[in-house]
Amino acid sequence: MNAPWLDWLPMLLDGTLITIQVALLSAVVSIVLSALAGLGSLSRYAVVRLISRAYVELFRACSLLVLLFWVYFALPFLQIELSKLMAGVLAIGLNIGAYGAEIVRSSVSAVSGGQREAGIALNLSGTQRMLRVILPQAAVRMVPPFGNLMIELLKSTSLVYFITLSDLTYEAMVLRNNYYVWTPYIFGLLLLIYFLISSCISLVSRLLERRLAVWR
Amino acid sequence: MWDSEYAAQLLPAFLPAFAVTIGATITGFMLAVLFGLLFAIAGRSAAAPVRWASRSVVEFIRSTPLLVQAFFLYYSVPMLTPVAMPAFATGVLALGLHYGTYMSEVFRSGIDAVPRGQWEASTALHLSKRKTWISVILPQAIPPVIPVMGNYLIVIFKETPTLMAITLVELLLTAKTEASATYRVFEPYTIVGLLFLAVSLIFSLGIRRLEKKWSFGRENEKGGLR
Amino acid sequence: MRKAFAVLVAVPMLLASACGNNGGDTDTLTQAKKQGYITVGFANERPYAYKDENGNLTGEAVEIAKVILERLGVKEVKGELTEFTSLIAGLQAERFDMITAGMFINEDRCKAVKFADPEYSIGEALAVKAGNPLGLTSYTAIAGQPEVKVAVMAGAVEVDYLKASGVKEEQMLQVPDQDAAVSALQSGRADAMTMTGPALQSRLEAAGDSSLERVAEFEQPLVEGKSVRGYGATAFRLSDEAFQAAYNAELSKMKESGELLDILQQFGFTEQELPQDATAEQLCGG
Repeated sequence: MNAPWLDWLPMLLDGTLITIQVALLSAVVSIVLSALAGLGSLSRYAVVRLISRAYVELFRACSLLVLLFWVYFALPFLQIELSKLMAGVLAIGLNIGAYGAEIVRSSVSAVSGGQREAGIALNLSGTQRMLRVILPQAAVRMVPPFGNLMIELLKSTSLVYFITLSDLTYEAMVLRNNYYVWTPYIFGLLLLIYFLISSCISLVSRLLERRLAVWR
Repeated sequence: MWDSEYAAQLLPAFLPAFAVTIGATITGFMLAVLFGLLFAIAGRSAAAPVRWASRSVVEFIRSTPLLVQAFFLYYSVPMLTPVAMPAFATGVLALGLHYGTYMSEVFRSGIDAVPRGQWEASTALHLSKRKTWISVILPQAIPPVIPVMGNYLIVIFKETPTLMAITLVELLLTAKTEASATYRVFEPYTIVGLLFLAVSLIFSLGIRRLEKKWSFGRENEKGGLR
Repeated sequence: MRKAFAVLVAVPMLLASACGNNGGDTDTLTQAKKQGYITVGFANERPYAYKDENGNLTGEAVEIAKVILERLGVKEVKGELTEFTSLIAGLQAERFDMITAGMFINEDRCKAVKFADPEYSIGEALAVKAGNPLGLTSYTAIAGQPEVKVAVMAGAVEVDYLKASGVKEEQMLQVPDQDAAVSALQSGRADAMTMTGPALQSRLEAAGDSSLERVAEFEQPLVEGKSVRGYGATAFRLSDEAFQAAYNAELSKMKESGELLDILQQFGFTEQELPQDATAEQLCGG
């Protein structure tokens, strides 16, 4: 007996698209949060530093799946109703953003020091120093860890299965309901698809790294 | 909004579930250390096929979600082989394999930090491979990375709720069961959320102390904190 | 006669409430008509409501709802996939406007949702390893062997029936979906699995595993001395009384015309599983 692979493709494709959608949207949320909280941790204003640190510590200590459940099931009781997609993107974005903030913070502080002094010597303003001198160099350092982080993000999108968002994992479960005897193949294929998407992310990250390294 | 009486009623149900969560965390962590060492040592094997195989396995496991791996181990493996492990054993195996790949990176950095001279000295002393690893390399490689290993203990703790998908009755699944019996979801999920937050904050505080005390100011493994 | 009377009462009631609601705009049916579609919650369970191999929403409860809704002026039915245990919470939170999951009517649930009259009535079923080595023919037989484990869907009525029959919580392996129950039985993690008759039949057929069998001489569980029979129905929010009345009126027409049986038969039900004259009100203990 041959597994009916071809019959599975449309549903797996639908699921893949949802997974990619969740991943891209939460990537945007998490990158914005990373930049805000990462640079915020280095701010000269104590309040900004405090808020940034609180966010990072709190959301790194949080279990993502518990957070997702809380956002999706408990928040409506506070009259905040989010769609499955929004709940998923928000929970994943908040969680990954806290890790990303640490990458931003450590990369920026690693290039500061002497570069900052050089910038001052060249009479550059604070903003100019940050945008022209420090960030471009910090960015080069950030790319590899961010690449890894985006793979973590992709993997965590599978958790939206729990709130029955029809992502890749959920669609595979639906397929299993229709093709029970093929369970081992369905899950095997599912692992493979995630592996392929992860590989794409590391490829992009490596290309980006090479690009940026040239500028250095 | 918050019904304290209901919340108090929930606590007796959460106690055994908390024990399961902690049990899964500790067992999963020990397996992760074990697999991590195996992957790290195999990754440095003199035989190229062993190196290659170990690295590919690590790469594959790291690139795919824990949830799907748990599904595969729980639902697919019994259909392919005569082995059918219960939820707890399957769950900790999944955690161990998944975080073993991260742990192997931690060990690798520890091993790389052992000076080359130590290897050469071992060769000069005619120590066997086994003896070199056990008595010379690992005792020097592991202590510096203990704080990073501790971070993974927290990470594993936070990932245990994923195992509710394979019917492991841990904290989150218990909250869900309670919520579905009473249609009141706010208290159970909030209690579990706070519990996770409290435990991991206390833990990471402890690890930071440990880090300071040993004054290994090393940066955490890149991106490896999840 | 009674049904005709119900229709006579329901239609003017609906009209009255529809008019009364013109200002408020909170009536779910009116709103659904206006936007041209309605969202229903379902739990991916065969044969009640599920996504088929092409990803389309179907099932006994869904197909009945589609017919009725079309007659009420709602053309399209959109499905919101939700885990069984979260269906009622989802309805209350307005993530969808009705539950079409073949959900059983019981007193507890009646406090949280408004049920339509039942669309089918079924009994429980039990599956075991071929040859029934442990001799399990009823829930009480399971209770009598404390080392026996039974797989059951989390949040389903079977959990309560099992408890009422003396089965201990530790004996139940509560699983998130139907397939997980089959896996549990196949792999020996459980010695038995129980679900409603048509669901169990459909899962055994899908598994095509000769090492499993349905217990033919299964005794229906007794709760408080009464043999239980599950009555599945569509559920609405408590405030949607007019919607429910309109829905009931159409449903009773379908019962009489035989249309209901036609749909049920497509999903493996038989004449024996028609709901007869049972109403939601009776079943809610009202």
